[in-house]
Amino acid sequence: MTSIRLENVHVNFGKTEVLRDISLEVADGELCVIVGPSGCGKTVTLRAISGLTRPSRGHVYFDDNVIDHVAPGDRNVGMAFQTYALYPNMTVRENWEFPLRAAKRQEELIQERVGQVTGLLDMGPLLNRYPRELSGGQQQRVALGRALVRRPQVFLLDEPMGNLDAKLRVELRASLRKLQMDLGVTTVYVTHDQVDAQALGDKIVVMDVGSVQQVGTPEQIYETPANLFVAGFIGTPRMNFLDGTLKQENGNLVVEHPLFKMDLPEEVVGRLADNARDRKVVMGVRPESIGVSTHPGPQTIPGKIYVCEPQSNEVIIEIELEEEVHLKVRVGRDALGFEPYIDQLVQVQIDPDTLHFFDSVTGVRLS
Amino acid sequence: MAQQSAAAEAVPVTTPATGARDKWFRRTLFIPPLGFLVLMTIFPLLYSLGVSLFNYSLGGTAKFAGFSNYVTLFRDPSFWQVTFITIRIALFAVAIEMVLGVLLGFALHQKLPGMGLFLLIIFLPMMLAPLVVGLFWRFLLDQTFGLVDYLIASVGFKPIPWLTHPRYALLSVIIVDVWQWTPFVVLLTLAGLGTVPPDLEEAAELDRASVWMRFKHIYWPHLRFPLLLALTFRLIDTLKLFDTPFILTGGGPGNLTTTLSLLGYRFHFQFFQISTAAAISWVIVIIINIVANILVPQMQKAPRGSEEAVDTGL
Ligand SMILES: Nc1ncnc2c1ncn2[C@@H]1O[C@H](COP(=O)(O)OP(=O)(O)OP(=O)(O)O)[C@@H](O)[C@H]1O
Ligand SMILES: [Mg+2]
Repeated sequence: MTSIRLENVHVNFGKTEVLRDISLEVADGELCVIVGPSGCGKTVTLRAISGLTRPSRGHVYFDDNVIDHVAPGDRNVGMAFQTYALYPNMTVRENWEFPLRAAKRQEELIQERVGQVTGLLDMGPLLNRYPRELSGGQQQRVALGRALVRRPQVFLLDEPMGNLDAKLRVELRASLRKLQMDLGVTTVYVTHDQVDAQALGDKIVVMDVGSVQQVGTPEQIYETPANLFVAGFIGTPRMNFLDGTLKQENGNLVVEHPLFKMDLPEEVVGRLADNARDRKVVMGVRPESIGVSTHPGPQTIPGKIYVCEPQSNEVIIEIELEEEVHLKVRVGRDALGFEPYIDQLVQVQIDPDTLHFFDSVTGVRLS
Repeated sequence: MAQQSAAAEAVPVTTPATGARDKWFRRTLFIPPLGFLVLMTIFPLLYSLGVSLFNYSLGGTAKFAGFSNYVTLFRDPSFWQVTFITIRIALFAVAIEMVLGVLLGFALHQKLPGMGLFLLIIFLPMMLAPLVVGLFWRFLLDQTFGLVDYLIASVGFKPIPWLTHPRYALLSVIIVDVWQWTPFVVLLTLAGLGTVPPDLEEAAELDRASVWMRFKHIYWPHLRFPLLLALTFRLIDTLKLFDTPFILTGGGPGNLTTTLSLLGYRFHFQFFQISTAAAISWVIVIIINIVANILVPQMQKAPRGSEEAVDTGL
């Protein structure tokens, strides 16, 4: 049906450049998730795709056709606005019927679609209410529903579930994904929620200050973050970063930190680029790939428990290696094997296999 | 932190006593405007009502006449002619102003470069004094010296006796009123359009709503109130129209452009029948009251979807 392509898109508001050279491709039928911190340009990117904002440079393509000069209404996109943009003088039902009536659909089809969306979003008892009589999460579902009742070429969903409770969100996520796959509608989905992103996306786009930091499958983004920003943004709690130096020592590559020194196994060395010798690096290690025990072992680093945040079936422990050097660790309760308490002395075990290396200056991944 | 929150708690809570004092203070604030109202509005109204119930004429003593002034007035066919002319001018002029004003308002709602200057030009007629407008148009429409007839003649048509022909004189009065007051409707339309949330316009655009659907569902809820206001103001204003026909046509030819206000003026200053003039002004008051009583309640109705929740749906 439709693939979307942004080619070197720039968007300016006055003098400020809000999107800087965005290039992005979403294949036909794909669900692409855009994540990034607040104000990084996610909404503006969606608006550029829908045509509501005109890029100052660059082009937008649908299926290899440039659509820079196609009016928003003629692009056949269904958009759920972050601000909801519900028609205030219409009931929920009328809001949903509106795009269908605008398209002069048969009454039967209108009722069928509205019924479908009502079920999907669990809005049955609220159909005859006006938007101002709804809670925030209910309004958000109306906004999502209005995008879904149509069968457009493209769905553009701007944080469509940010205001929903956890249970509803999980349910809706699954039904939304199913609907999107059944219809095969190419979708761009903006979210702050990493779980949403991981669960829904065929592809994740990570943005920061108006530019794309990395594009990849959820696994790629998690396992091989392209730079420090992506590494720090994806994953909760965020990845631990430690300064270090890569050194050649009697035939082995080692990474050196004031507190420890680690031999790097062959696979890791193989992954690193050749020029990654004798330089300062930032080591990244995910909280979930650090082991904690009470007894010292080979290559363990001593530390002291600083904060302990119990979760449902795991614990997030912040360990102080020395002043100002903290590591966050996430372990399952069972795997931990002891009851952690503050100021407890523990041993930290880092598997060199799981280390990520980034250039200390540019922040780019070394591999 | 703790100190700050303590300071926040120290704000005195309004006690019933200060509440009562507040209430009295607020009531006393009413007194000056109330006095002003009585002095400047109620008194002249009642006075003119009194005058219309007596027989005042120059030199003579006032004799109570009851409603006889009104009866004479209502028996006079030219009074009815003038009443209908007044209503006709009001209806036609206001209808044209409303339609034109809304269309122009939508046109000017777009943000194009140079719009500021254009807006200024559009609003200029409204800022001019009625006398200036009247004289200006009398020159424009004059049969021998007027620019309009000059242009008409230059493209080969016969000049039109705008101000003296029975057919055109009324039209001229309407044209001038439209020229001067359409900007007012434009202004209120723009004010209404300015309150439409842009994301609603965008949503409707993406939903491919037709022009009519957009007008009805997106714009109308925001235009209803300002347009009703414009309609009320314009109707009241044109129903007591005086200056334009006075300067432009003097009410002629015959009585064909004479409005009730102009008729009242004539009775007062030309025929010196002060009581009849007062009776006429009371007829105007009554007509305007009827109009206001129809339109003002419409304004107080809340648009759909903005009432408090009635049906909880549960
Ligand atoms: N109309 C505008 N005029 C000027 N600046 C704007 C405008 N719209 C957005 N911006 C700026 O563009 C940047 C990106 O905004 P955008 O709305 O795309 O952020 P976002 O990624 O959607 O953030 P959030 O997650 O908070 O919704 C912000 O810094 C914002 O201040
Ligand atoms: Mg946004």
